[in-house]
Amino acid sequence: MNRTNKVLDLSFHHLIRGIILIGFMLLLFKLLLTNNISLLIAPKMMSFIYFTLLVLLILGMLLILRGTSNHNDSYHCDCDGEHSYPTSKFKNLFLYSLFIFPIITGFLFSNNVLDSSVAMNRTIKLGADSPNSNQTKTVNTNKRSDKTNSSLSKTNVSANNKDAANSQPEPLSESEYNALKERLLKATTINISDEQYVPIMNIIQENLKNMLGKTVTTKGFVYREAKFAQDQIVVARFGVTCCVADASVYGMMAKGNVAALSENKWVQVTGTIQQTQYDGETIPIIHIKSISKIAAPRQPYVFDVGIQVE
Amino acid sequence: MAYLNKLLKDSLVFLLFSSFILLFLFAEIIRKNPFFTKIPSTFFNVNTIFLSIILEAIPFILLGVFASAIIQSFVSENTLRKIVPRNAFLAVIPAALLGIIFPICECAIIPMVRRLIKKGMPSHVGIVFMLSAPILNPVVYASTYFAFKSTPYIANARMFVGFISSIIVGLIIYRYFKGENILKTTENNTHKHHHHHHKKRNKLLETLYHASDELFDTGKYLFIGAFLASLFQTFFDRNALLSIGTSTSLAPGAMMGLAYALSVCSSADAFVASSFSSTFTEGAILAFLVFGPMIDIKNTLMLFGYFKKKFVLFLLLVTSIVVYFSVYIFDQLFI
Repeated sequence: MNRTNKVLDLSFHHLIRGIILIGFMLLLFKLLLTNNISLLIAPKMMSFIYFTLLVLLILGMLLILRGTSNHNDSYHCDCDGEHSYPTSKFKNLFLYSLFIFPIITGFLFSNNVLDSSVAMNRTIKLGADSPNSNQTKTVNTNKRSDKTNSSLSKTNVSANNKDAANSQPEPLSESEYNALKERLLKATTINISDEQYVPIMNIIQENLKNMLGKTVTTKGFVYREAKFAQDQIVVARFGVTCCVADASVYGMMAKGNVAALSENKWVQVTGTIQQTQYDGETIPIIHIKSISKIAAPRQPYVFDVGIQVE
Repeated sequence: MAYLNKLLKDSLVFLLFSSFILLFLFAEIIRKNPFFTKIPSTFFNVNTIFLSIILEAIPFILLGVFASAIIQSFVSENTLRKIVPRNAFLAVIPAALLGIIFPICECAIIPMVRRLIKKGMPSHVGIVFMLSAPILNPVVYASTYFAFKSTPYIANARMFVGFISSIIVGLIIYRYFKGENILKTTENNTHKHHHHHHKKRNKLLETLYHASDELFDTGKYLFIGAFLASLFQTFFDRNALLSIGTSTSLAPGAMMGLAYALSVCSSADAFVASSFSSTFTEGAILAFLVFGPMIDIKNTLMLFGYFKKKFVLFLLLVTSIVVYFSVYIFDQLFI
């Protein structure tokens, strides 16, 4: 009697676990169908999601079969009983709701987009890390630490070339980055596209002196720091590397008749690049010529594809 | 009674399954329910960050679990003994460099290292591998290099300090836990010989069963850890740290604490760190970059699941002290 109970109990665990895995699989499938997955993780991680989907399907089916078949005691894993199944009802409830609850909220609320209340708690990079003052120092230490790690970094870089190919869809190569930089330095008008948002912002911030006076167009949501004046906003974007947990806020300060705009509203701004002092740093600022409210784009995040190290 | 019990359980299972199907088909309609508009938006933000951490980690946990299953089935204790250098001090160096060949992140590595140690790898060697692989690997090097494009030596410094401090931690572990079992044991452990009459089993099926069990074992710690991290991500104001950014003694500690709580994956944390680079000292940034991949909330919980409590606490303490001082010394010498 005791034995049948135990078998029943174990098959119940397997069944529940199998269904949880299938539930997860369905959640992933739904996220892929609605493309809400792009609100959670970066496109370069997508192959891992397909892999997970497949594995969850297989494991889920297997567990359900294992849970419903009659000879459950046919399998013992020889891992010295390191897998524990919870013993009390309360522990059961806790363990499984830990898995079930995220599936439910995932189905219901995965269309949520991070807003400026999250941006507020993160640091925002409005300018480059004052490269002028650091320049000489950078060169010095660079040589020094290069010497200490030269063997180390060499192996790393060579190994990387193999790897970069499969991990990222289209990272800029070093030469493409430089070509983009050349192009921006020559241009009189710059349109900050979503695809190259992060590199373009970096180039503008790092070469601010040569960018002054150019006309720039950018899209983003309205965000204000606490100490901003009435006519100042940041036109901000969340930049995502792997998943939104590592999202950082990118953006450019803009100045003009913006007092009436409320936070989180999406705008398109055109204006000239000037510089200003903020928190003791020189940062770019857009003097607004025209500003228009736009609908939130279907892909609110920009993705940081990175640069291939050569 | 047993019959009633079974009926109850069956209906519970059925209910769960149908609610998933229902959500899959009609989530958009259910979402329109006015009840949900009353939920504050911070809840949605916590949920979004939580889900994204989970979705990012699960593939790698699965990979780690499969790798551990493969080690279990195909690497014998003997081969392992042959591969690992006999000398306890020499063995740590290849262990620290193993990440270059196997770029494994901090989620995937814990099940693997647990398996290796169980198979007879000396525990200090396993720990060195566990601490260094998420730092000393090509993917992490590339992302750090890009995130700190204007100061490229940060990437080299990260590799170097990660290498040194993981070795030091490994040697300290060797000194205090030599020959001791650091893995959690269950009372079933004594029945080892009991299973041997089942030798005629389907190896693939066994691996998959094993993987699913391990997925749930690890998963529960991951979920709790990811939840804590997402709470912290949503509610903690990072700007509060800026005032101590230039203090050479406090800033590295603060950044280590931040890295611990944020639990960002090691291939992406350089970008988070770069948003602090204008206000924090380079030593502090380095402390963040080295400590975060070694230990954070979500892998602490997984460690507690696999290793003895006393050992995990010791490891946490030693790792934070070693990283802090390695960064400090590096800072004095080179930056």
